[in-house]
Amino acid sequence: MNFLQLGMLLALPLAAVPVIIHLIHQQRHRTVKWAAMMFLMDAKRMNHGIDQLRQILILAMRVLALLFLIFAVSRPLVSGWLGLAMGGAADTTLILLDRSASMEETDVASGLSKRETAVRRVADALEKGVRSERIVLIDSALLQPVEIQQPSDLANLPQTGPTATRANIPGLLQAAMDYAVAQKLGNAEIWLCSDLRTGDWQPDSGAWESLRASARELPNLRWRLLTFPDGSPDNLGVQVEAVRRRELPGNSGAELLLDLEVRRQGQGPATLPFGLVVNGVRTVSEIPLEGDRQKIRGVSVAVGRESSEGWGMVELPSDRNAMDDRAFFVFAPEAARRSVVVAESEKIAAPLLAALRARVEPGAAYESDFVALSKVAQVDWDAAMLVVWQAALPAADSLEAKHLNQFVQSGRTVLFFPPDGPDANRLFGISWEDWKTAAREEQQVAWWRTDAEILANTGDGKALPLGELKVKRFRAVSGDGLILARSADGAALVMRGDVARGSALFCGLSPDPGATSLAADGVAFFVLLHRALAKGVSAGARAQQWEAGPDALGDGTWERLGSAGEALGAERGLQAGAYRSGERFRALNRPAGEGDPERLDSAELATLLAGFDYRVIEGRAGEGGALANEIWRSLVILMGLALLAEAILCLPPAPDPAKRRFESAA
Amino acid sequence: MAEPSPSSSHDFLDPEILGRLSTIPLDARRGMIGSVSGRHRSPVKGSSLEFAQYRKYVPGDDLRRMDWRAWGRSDRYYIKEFEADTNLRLCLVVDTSGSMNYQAGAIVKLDYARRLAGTLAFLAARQGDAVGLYCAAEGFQKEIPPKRGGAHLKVVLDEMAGMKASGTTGLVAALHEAAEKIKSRALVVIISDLFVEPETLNEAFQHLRFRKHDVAVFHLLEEREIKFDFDRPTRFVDLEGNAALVVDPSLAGRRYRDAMRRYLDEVAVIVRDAAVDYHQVVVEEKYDEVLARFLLGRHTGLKTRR
Repeated sequence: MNFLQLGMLLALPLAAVPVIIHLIHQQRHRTVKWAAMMFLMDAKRMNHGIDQLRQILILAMRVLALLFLIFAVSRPLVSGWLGLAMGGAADTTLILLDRSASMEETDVASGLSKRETAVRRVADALEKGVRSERIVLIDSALLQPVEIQQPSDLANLPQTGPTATRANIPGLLQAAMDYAVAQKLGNAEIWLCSDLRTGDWQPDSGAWESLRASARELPNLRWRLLTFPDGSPDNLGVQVEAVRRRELPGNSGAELLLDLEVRRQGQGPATLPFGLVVNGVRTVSEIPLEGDRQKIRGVSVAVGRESSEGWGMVELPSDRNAMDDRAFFVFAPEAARRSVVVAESEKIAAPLLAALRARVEPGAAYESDFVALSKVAQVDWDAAMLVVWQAALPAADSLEAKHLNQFVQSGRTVLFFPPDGPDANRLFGISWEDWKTAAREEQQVAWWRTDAEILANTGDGKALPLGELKVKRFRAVSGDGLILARSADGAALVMRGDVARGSALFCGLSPDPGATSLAADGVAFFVLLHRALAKGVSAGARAQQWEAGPDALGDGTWERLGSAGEALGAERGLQAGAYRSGERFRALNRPAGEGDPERLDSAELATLLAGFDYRVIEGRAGEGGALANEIWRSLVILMGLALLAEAILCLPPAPDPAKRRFESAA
Repeated sequence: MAEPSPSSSHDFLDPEILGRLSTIPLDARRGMIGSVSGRHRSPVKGSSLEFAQYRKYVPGDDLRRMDWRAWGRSDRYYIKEFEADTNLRLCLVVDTSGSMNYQAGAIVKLDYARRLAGTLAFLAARQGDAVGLYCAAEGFQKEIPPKRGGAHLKVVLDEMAGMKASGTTGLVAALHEAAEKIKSRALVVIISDLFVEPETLNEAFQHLRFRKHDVAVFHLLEEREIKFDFDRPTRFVDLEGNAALVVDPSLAGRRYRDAMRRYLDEVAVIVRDAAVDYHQVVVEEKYDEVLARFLLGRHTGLKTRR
């Protein structure tokens, strides 16, 4: 709690005046010599408890009335929720701002987004009431602490601007805790502003456990959650999932085929008009809408035969969140989808090569080469989009390991299959265990991740037939990666190691027919390889569709297409748009999960933040109420109530019939 | 016997009031057994002018009291009996406990009691009755057995003039003691605030009643003691000790009045059961009016009974 007239609090001892007057008054009672003490003592004895309680209550009411008056005159400021204010002033205030695209949901009346509202309210609170010596901002996009001089600066900082990114709330909290530990903060208040989107909060993340443990070790941190849990019932969002350019027969030119996903919250129109901009030329079309999440395949846009490369944008009618009304795409002639298979023998490499050379998308060239382990030096690392490695892992300090590392860092994929012989090396934090003979061949793959990643269900929702594989022997995978499949005895069969944008996939099921039926059954094998290849292609292609993020434009000098504006410095890559750097095109869009309207409820929040000293203030976009309010009016009302209660307690009792009787008798 | 007259040291006696009240005789409600002839009825037959009854002659009866006319008419011997008139023994029991020091307005309760007792003593002596005085506090402070005569009256009045109220009340014990000490029937007049437990008071009255005494009570109260009309918190100091209580009348007044009402109701039942001539006296009243009411009540009651 803060006070605008702090000096008035010096008058607080005046609240004791009623007690002092009472004590003096007790000493100044008129003294009467009395004969009928026996009745007086009876009356006093019977009335003792009630009398004392009443006296105490009267005194308490008088003291309270004075206290309320003094507090009212000192003009206290409290946060929107009175309990928040009871914590006292903090040495440092950390502002953790969720800058995800979903925070751009805007109140129609005020024109303010949730992010802008949060920034304003927090700035207002810091300006008026919850002052502290140091104010630090950490935003979800950059996760870098920035010290703020004045609360009024908050609204003008680039770090509080809109982004098309997805927030990593566990990472944001970790950044705040790291800062608190590094700066040895004794008494800090942390304001976290977020719309509680499940995709941003990642409740399944393993980071929460360590966050809770850290929170228990940092009891001086007081967490204030300014949340915006209300949704936008009529909001529409669009994303471009894939772009293909196809030459039309004859001289009729070419067309772009777009795979779109449209999400809407609640009921909306049956048909949706949308605009398509390709290389600056805008066309308007209409699509029928069914359900709240609709995938539209092969939306065709005619382009000239000479337009082999360029950029485009899908535009929805403006609604409450402008950030999800646009989706950018880029296109360019595709290079051959080249893959390299490094294997111990040609026999094992054969099914791999066959699958990787199969044409999946018409018009695309698929090339795959076998390279023996002894000739790894001949691999053209720049041309390859996928490397399949069926051999012993190279030593961590070897040249091969360095090449593989750079390959994955560039965003492409390496798919590792188990070597036949022993292998004690470790790469990307993952290693092979020894071969293990399966207890039974059927249903050895007991669980795999079906919602995302490389083993996810197919587009029509069907699971990959991994359970039908016959497995005679396998090599379990151990390490720090994300487990994507498990065997019947719980061992990790498929694991992904994260390295920057790319991924290193370890599959413990060998394509060797003597070990598994992976190659023979084909379906899962084919999907596995081509999904890995597609990921590599998207990373290595000239035209790339990326999620917006701080590293999205970090590898070159990028020029924004179709717009003169360009973000500066660290803010590069945080905005959706189409960019060009030499021959390369890159479209940045908000992450797919940002369209998911699911939010944490209070129970889930309480579970996640168990051990945190936190309070929640719910807000709404555009809401103008300050987080810090003057409450002198409430105090005056309370003073009035205390005086009223005192007056009621002081009221004389109802007329005494015994007294009337004596009077009439007299 | 010389006519008694108040002296200058007995300023609690007002000659004018004495003169006015002396026209009303002090009567006993029941027969008295006195030592000399007087104006009060006796339970034994005597030689007054008032015919009582006839009874058959038995040998040994005084022949002078034989009704010869009755013998002439009926040829039977009858003895004619007359009422015996005797004197009254007035025993004044004055409560001199500390509570009698209570001052109501201009007058202290003890002074009021002194005036009542002195006037009664004077009136009784004037009509030839014996007067005694018992000052009751913690036991009898003073004890003057009833006697006749102007000299004795002076002793009694002197003692009254010197009465001082102090100590805790011993009224009940004093009444029991008086019941035992006063041998023959007497008019026992108790002047007190009666601030004792009603049960114990009942026992004392019943004891006096058992001894065939005619008991009269002047219950001295003050209007404020009944109404308890204080308007602000007050510190009350006990007159029979030094205990003090700070009481807010707005909180305790109702319960005080309830307790007082219950007490007075109980006293009313007790005096009725013990046939006590009870007079509740609010000391703001003039004492001569109280005494006139007392004397007239007894006189007219006696005539009615006759």
